[in-house]
Amino acid sequence: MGKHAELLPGTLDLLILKAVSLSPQHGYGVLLRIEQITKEALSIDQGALYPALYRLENKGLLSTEWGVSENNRRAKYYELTAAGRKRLGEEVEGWNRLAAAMSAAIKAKPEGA
Amino acid sequence: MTSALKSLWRRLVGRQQWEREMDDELRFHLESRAAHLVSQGVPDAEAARRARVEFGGLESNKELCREASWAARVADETARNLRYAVRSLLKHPGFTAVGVISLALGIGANLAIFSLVERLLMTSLPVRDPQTLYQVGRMKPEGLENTHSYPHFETLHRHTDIFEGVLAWSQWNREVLTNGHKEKLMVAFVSGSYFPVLGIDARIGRTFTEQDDRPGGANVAVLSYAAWQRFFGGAANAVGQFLDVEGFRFQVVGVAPAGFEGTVIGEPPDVMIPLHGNLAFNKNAISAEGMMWLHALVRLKPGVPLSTARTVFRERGIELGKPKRAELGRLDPATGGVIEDGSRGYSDVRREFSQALLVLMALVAVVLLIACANLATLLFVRGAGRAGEMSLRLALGASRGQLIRQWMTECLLIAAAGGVAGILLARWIVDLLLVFIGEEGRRYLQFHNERNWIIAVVLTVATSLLFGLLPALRASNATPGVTLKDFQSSVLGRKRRLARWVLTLQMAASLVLVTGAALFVRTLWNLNTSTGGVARSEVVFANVRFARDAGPPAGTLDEVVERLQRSPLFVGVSLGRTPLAGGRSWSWATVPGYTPRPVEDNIVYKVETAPGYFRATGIPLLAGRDFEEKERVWPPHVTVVSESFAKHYFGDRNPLGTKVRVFHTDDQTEIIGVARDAKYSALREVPCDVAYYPGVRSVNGTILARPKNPENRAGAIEEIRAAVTAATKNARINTGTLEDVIQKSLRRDRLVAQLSAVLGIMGILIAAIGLYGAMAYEVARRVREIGIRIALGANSWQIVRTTIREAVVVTGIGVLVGIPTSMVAARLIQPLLFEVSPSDLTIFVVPAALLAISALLVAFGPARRASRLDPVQSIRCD
Repeated sequence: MGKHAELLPGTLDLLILKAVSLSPQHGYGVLLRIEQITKEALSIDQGALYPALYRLENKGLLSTEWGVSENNRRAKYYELTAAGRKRLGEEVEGWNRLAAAMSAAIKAKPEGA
Repeated sequence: MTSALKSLWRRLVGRQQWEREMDDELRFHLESRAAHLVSQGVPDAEAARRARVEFGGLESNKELCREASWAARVADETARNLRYAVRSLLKHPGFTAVGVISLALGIGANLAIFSLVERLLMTSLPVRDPQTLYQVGRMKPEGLENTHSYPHFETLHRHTDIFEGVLAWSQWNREVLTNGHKEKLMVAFVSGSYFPVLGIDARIGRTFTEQDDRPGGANVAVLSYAAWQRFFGGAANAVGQFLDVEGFRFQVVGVAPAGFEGTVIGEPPDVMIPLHGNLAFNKNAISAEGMMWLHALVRLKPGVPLSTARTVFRERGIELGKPKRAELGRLDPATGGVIEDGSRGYSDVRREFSQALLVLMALVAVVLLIACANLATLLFVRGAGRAGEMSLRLALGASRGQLIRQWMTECLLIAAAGGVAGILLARWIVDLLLVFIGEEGRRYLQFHNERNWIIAVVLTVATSLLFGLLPALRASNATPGVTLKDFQSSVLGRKRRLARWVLTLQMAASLVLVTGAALFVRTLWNLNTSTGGVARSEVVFANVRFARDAGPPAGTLDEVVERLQRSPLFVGVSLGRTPLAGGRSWSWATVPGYTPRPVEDNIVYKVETAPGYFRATGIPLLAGRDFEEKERVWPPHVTVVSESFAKHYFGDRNPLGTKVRVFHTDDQTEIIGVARDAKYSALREVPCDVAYYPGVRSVNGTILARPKNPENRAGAIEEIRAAVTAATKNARINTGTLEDVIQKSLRRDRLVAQLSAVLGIMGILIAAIGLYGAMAYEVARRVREIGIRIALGANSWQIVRTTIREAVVVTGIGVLVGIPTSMVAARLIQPLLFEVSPSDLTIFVVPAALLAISALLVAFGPARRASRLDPVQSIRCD
């Protein structure tokens, strides 16, 4: 278990899209999935998760459906829409570019040393 | 489930269900979390508590969910509405073009006129407490007469119980030599009280005090901030320097602050000099009782109500410097000695144009109203055409609110395009207005952009609401599941009734516009054909002035006139005041044996003349004789009075030979003639009492001449010019025809007549488009019915008659409403009319007939098309 890192602004959407892309999830499932795929390195504010889900749903990136949970309870499941899948691709690509640029920047050494 | 159906479902579920689902979802989360914690060994009660703590504020998160959901929905829907609106508007380019163009014209014209109204009528002087400043004077039909002589200014000063202060000024363009620059500048002669009463402190140096403005005071000057910047680059050492005003030296003692532009709107003075400094130019200026060369403002004493001040002012009989003589009546309290708002300073342009601008403001507002009504009609028509679409969308689950929002988006889009185009147009319209007002307008009636943007936005939103809301409410009133045909027969009836009312309103409003235009055009026509009692189309003038001490001996000009009088080219040549020109002087008439009524106006206007004046101006002498050369002395022993004067004081008696007092002198002046009434300073004034007198031979003067051949006025002017130049050196000659002078005085009437004509045509055009649209739709809707009737043997005339009936009803009611409205409006604009009687019926009937005929012509097109329908084709179509 590593130290908890703060979430960069804007990255929560990406994480949610990624988590949901693997399989449809209810809200709590999304939380668990994010913890799992980030190896619990990122701390997610549980309360903030839902406004983000609602926003993504209303942007048409997620669709919802009520289903039955693993413990036989009624739960709302989130699923990626076609637009959501496209957006996830874009976000991943953008993130990779940023990450590459950042790590290159950090590794830079003084010139002519 | 497809996403379209899902969103439909989401819209169908109400708000309560949405809330319940959110609660369920969040509860599920908390319980799952608690169960998870229990499975990790946390005790039940502790697990539930921890789950809630980890979650954070439940209610605040719920609120965030609601917001996320709402904001996204609104943004989403707006974007969708916009896309849809653009598509729908592009699909109907005719409708869109009519909407945008008519709104652009309406909004542009409103903005343009408003920007002038704001500058002229709504802007206060940038001085201390402008709202306690007032003008005093005499109310005349043309407006407030507010010029004063210096003695009267001093009289005003004495009423310290009602006036805290009184200031006076007079400003002229004079040649000024400043720091090496020589050019014409605006020079204001101002009273010592000018700066203190206005509450203006010097930027540097000092302003004037009462000490500067008295006989023998030093020749001092205050520069405006702009002049200081221009001529001295804002240097502090400007104070102490000298300026040269037409040969007289004045020492600069201070600079006025930036932003101070004097008391005349649009004519900021560059140099200010005490009133007594004017003695250098005119030795009589201070003492002359009859010389009305000053404008004045009074500041009311704090705590004195305006009504009290007005009463006191009148009761003291101090109106306009009237001397206290038993032989003089009191001025009418309603018109004499009035105190009027002075917070906005003094402005000739405002005096001349304020009423006209307000009328134009009303007219352009009506045009905008017609444009809105027109769009509403077209929208009703389109709404009926889109009823099927509406009921289908309702059936698919769109809410009524959504349909209205969708519809309003289209309206707002049209209005926004119209508003933007209107702002661009407004500049052009302002420029056009300034062509009428003249170059002096351009200096200060700039287009105030910041405020206009706000007004444009307000106008845009207001108009789109005005023309969009009713049709939107109607159209969204469709019932889901009702078929298109049922819908048309059940709901459309009501809808069309409303549309008909809007059409009627449009007709009535355009009739008011057209009638207004007719009244103003008629007024201009009357003014152009009225002679004013002088040979208006024949007289030419040449104003001859010489620089100080550079002129020929006094009388040289008179010799020139005598030579011209012998020329066969002229009917008459003389010297004197140009009739109907600006500038006026008056005094108080006392006639022996005449007892004035308690309230009576004894003012008499004075006209300087020379022998031959009546022949040269074409004012006929009704009795008596002309002046003789030997009578040219001051004070005059003889006078010729106007017909009105004779009637006023003598009734039917013969005035000839009576000695009267009319020239501010104690001398008795004998009446030797009576001249027919001629207008003194404006064509539209009522004939006033006038006393003509022979002026003394002097250096400067105005030559008036009437050529035998009126067509050759240009040649006559050249003849006069040549004669003057042959006899003198360095003469400054300003020539023109009397007609030019009159035309310049009619600029306001031209502006109103031409603009109202354009607006009237615009109103009719827009209304016609609305009517055409409604009729065309009506025919299209009834194609099948008409086809059946033709098949059953109805002839074309019957078809035309039934189709055109609606247009006839709408126009008829519009005219019936419009005529009385126009009559009321005509009374309101009475001051702007001339020899047009508001009870003259033809002026109201002719525009109504014109409107009715054009409406029928417009309606005839679709009706004719209906009558030519092929019955077989039309019955098949749906």
